[in-house]
Amino acid sequence: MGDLINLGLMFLVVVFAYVFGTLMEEEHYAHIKKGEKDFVTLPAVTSKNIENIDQIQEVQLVHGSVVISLDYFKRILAGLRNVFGGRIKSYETLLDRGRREAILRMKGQARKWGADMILNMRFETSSIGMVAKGNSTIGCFEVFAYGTAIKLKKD
Amino acid sequence: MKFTPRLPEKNVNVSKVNPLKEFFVLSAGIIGIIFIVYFTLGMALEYVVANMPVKTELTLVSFFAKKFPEPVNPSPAQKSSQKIMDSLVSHLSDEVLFQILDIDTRRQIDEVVQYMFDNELKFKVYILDSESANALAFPGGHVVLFRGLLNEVESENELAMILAHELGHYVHRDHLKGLGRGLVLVALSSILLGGDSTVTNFIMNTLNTANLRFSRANEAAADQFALGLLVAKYGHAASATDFFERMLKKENMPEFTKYFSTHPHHRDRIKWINKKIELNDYGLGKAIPLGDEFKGFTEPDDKTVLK
Repeated sequence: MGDLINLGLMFLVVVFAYVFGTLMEEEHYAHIKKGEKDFVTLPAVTSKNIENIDQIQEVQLVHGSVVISLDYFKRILAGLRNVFGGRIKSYETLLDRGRREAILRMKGQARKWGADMILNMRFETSSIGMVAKGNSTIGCFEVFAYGTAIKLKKD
Repeated sequence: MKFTPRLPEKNVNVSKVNPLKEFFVLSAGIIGIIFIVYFTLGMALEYVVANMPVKTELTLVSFFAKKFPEPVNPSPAQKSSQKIMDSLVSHLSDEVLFQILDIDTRRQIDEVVQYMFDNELKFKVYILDSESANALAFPGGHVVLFRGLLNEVESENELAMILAHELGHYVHRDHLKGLGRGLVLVALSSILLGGDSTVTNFIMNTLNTANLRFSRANEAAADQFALGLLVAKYGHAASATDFFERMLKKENMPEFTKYFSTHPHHRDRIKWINKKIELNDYGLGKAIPLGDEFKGFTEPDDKTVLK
């Protein structure tokens, strides 16, 4: 009887995690898409310079960072995937959301400063919440986006 | 270089796969693999255990089991239980018992009897001061009766049936089988899943439920053995189902719980035993009432009790 209760509880937690994880993800994507539309006029590029360097009036480092956690369902899915190998598809949306959100935050900082463009944009991704033995207690990671914001001379 | 502000049309970084579908496919795969390995290993283990000499068993047991203490000052109830046990053991070679058993079990009994005779060993009965009505068979021929059980029992035949049931477990090597299955389970989970507790627990719980059926089959075999031994000792099958009938009245389990229980439902056991009694024409004589040493038996002598 105890096993049955355990199994039922486990199943409930997985269902709960799936439903809420999916809802949260949809909400996050809606937020990201709206932000990307807002910031589409502020370009962030990976090139180190612009053609005419004399046009630059001022430079400033801008950065955006975001920490995103796994949900229980994604973690179980990845655990199962671990046995067979292959693409961990459940993590793809997670990283995608993280990167795009980090760019948005960086762009937000740049716009506040009054930037016309962001040059030399880079990403750093790192997992955090790991304990010494390597078992993750809280499965989450940080995405850090940074670049050089420039203001152009006004003619 | 011209920059045209534009949003990407579609996202190439995210696979278009339904996570639920992936979850079910992967779970089915992993549970399938575990079932196959587990049952193959379990089968192999059962074969090895059933053919293991008693001497090897005792050597193995001595590696990880503590030695049971010798009763220093046995209580009258313990002495009487031991007497019934000894008398049951002396009937192990009876023709009546052999008629009801299959050839493998007969061979195992012969081996156990021979070994005990050679090494001057005997089955020992211990009484544990616990409320629950239960009895256990441990490797090495130790049978533990719980005090709660002795309070329930009314006749000597009933107690003999319980002791014989535990003897049956011993002869069938069920105690070792259970131990081996547990080992296989633990080894499998740690190799495959690296002790990741969430996934491991999920799968092990599923497996555990399936494992109980094996256990129920073992209980039925032990019942059959016990019935044969009871008839061998007393010449009739009186009180064979008494204990189960009492438990049935007491517990009143709902029907569906039997799928999650290690023991068969009491009703099924009673029906099955009665059918066997009728089939073999054992007859029902008069049960011998238990002696005074079991009356109001509440606090056994501390020194004889396993803590």
